[in-house]
Amino acid sequence: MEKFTFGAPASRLRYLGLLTLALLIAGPQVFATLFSGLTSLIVAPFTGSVEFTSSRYEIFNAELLLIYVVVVLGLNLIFQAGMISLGHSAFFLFGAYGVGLLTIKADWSFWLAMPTAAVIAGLIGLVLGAPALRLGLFTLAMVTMGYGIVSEDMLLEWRSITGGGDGLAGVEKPAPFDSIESYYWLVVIVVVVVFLFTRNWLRSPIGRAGKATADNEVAAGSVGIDVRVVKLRAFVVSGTIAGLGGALYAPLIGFLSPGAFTVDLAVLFLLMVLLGGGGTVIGPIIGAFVLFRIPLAVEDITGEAGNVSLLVYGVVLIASVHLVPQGFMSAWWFLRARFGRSDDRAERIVQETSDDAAFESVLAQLPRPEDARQLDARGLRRRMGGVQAVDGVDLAVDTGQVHALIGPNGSGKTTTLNLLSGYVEPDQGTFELKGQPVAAAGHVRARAGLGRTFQTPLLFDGMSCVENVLVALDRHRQASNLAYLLRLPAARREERLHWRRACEILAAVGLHDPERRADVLPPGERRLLELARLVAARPSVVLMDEPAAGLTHAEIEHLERMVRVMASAGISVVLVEHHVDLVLRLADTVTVLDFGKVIAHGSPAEVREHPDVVAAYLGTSTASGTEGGVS
Amino acid sequence: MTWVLETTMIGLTTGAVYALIAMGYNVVFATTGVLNFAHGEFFMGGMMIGAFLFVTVGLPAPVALLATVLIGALAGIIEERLAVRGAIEKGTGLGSSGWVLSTLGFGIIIQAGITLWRGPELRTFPSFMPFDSITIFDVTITSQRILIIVAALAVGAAMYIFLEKSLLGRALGAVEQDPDAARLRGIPVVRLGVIAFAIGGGLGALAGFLTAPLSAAVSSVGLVFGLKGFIAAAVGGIPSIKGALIAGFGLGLLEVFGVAWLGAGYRDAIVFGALIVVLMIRPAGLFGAGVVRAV
Repeated sequence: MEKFTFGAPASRLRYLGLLTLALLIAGPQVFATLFSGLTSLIVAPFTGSVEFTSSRYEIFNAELLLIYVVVVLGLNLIFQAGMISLGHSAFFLFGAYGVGLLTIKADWSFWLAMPTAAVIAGLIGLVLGAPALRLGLFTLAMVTMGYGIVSEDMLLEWRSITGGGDGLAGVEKPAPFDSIESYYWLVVIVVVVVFLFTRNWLRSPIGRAGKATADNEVAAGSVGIDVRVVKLRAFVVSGTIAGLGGALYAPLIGFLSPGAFTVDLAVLFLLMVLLGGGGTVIGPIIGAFVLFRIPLAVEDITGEAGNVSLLVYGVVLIASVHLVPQGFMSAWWFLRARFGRSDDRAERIVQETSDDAAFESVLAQLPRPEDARQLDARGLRRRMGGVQAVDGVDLAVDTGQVHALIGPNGSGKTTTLNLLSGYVEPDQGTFELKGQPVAAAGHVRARAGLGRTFQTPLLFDGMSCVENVLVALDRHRQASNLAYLLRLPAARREERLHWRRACEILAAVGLHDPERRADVLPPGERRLLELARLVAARPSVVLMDEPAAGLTHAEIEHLERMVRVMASAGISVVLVEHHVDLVLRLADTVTVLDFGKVIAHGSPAEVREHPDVVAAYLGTSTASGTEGGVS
Repeated sequence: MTWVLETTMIGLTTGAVYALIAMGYNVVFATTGVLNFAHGEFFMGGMMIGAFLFVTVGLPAPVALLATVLIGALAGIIEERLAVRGAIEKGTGLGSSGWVLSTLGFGIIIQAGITLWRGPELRTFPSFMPFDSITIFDVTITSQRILIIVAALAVGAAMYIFLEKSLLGRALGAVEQDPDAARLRGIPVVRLGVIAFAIGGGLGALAGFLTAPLSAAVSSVGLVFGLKGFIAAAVGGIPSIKGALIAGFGLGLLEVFGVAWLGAGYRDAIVFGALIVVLMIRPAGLFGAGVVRAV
């Protein structure tokens, strides 16, 4: 178990990265020659000739491509966090015109103008990113497209500043990078720095929180992630990086005009990300290399640019959706799965059997909550669509208690849980954890120590089991975000530690293949993974919504033992469950709801005999029918 | 006063175009959950193919109109088959939203194909109405404007009745709500997706054909009209037909009065500004269904 890598599993793609770096360092002539030559090789069957050149035009192309790579790496960060921008041409524009205006009109040095323009782009991103917090994926895509269109319009409109349609001429390359050949080195430096930054970002807890947010916002909130912070952070950094790309673009092209910043460019950026493999570290770079070269290749073949290459773009896009659904990176994964050696890490972690002792020892590592009133909710009321779903419910749970909440369908159990979790705001009522009121927002309550599982387990389906648990562990890391972005030793040590701990937790609940993706788990194991994530977040109170639903008899017994272990470790459990046998065996206290009201409250034995409960369940006083599991 | 009435008339015309495009998005989204990024190009295609059939070939206007709408519907069917069905089934890049890539790609193909075929220049498209204009209270209204406003209202009414009342329309809605449940009840989900794309494509082409005499046909308008139509749909609340009509006309009025006040350079900014304001207050749009929490 010693050879853990930082976060993601080691990949042979690393050699590809090193090769690319070597190629970049070989200089503009070599890079441009290889880059253009490869294209001419691919289209050779059509053109009948192969040409390796390092003309100034090809060097310019190589530099432009690398600048696009910068933008695309930035765009990738917001895609990874579950957002689409069809307007990143706007940030590119802010960076380019920022440098243009600051160096020409304000006479700034390029070295001051470049970071300033990037920061300005990032600050604008802070404003423009705000709608991302409320909008759905595709509405946001259209809104961002609006940014692209409107910012281009404004270039034309504000002629006195921007030069309008006449453009802005005379942006100079800064010494010592003042020739097309030497400018290459500046671009390479920026590309490498941005690449390392985005790679570290994606592999850090920041990236993991982004992936979790993209995957399932409710689940992300349930482990204490503030999805608004995640999204806005990604938007700002992404805008800054795109602005940096624009800032590099201005001196390369020398002459800025609105026609260079159309929405078509923004669409191209997004397509580069998606086609290569959005959210992956190197996919967008591959996408950029391919899509950048298509128009040039088509021009070689047909002698015509523009519309023919657009046709080819369109065909490539549609074909890619069918052939490589996750982008080009999926082809790589497929090849690795088909021909590569299987990753043997999984075997290293397998220990047979999850005994309760393992689970106990995992929980024993946590500080035991003090004996106290852990959760205290009073007078909760909430109307849902004309129905008084919850009508004055009180609920109090002490350390290590198991408190069951039962009642017929529609009696308000899940609404009560959602009120407690902070997903639904109460019309009336108070809520306290450890004697402190906590705001009604999922992530705030989660951070205050409230854990939650769902009727249908909500997992991060696109992530592996161990990543699912790591997301929850990330709340308790000591090293700062900066340490992670720089991959300082403290952060790497902590990541290894967390990885190992996550595997321990998984093994303790009975999941022995930490690299497995969550979406391929059978239903019973999905519950286990949700439980592992729950425990990893170190809650003092957990709310479980029908944890036994869909489990086999043996699985229910396993669950029962684990709930007991949790309670004996001092975790309070609020259990909504139809499986009455289980409830009566597990619960210290039972609250029975009907029509949103508490109709009985007490020990399992008392509640079982309570006449109103019998009536509610057997349907003599209500029409709601009986519940499965009554025995 | 005359100026206000005339500007209102222009605004309503513009709005009618947006509303027609918006309804095309809505019918597709309501059935398949797909936001057809190629829809603006269907509008452009309606203009260009209409110009070809009506002006170049010289077909009578009603025949050209019908043929254009049918070609649009056919293109919609092709899009569904090539760019949507497989993309939904495979569950791609964005969860199950690989169709973002492929519908964008399909739109790019339409645009590039038509530009290659007919060139990038403007093509005039004469009015095809039997009378030229009418004058009410000193305001002259060209018949083409009346036609497009009436068309938007008629299509809206037809869509409303179709989606709300007819069995087929309700089946379309059911598919969007829960495709699996719909399938279990014997609703042919795949076939309805095809129908929705055919209707959407036909509507897009219709809107383009009717709009062409007011501007001219040119192969580069797809993006902007597609976006404005989408904004109308989003502001109105997808997939509400009533919302599309009200928001379409509202945006059209806002745009022409806003341009009169601020200048033509702000045309897009005004409309996008309205979109952002409305969505920040009501993320689901004016008449959209609220978000239902799934836990």
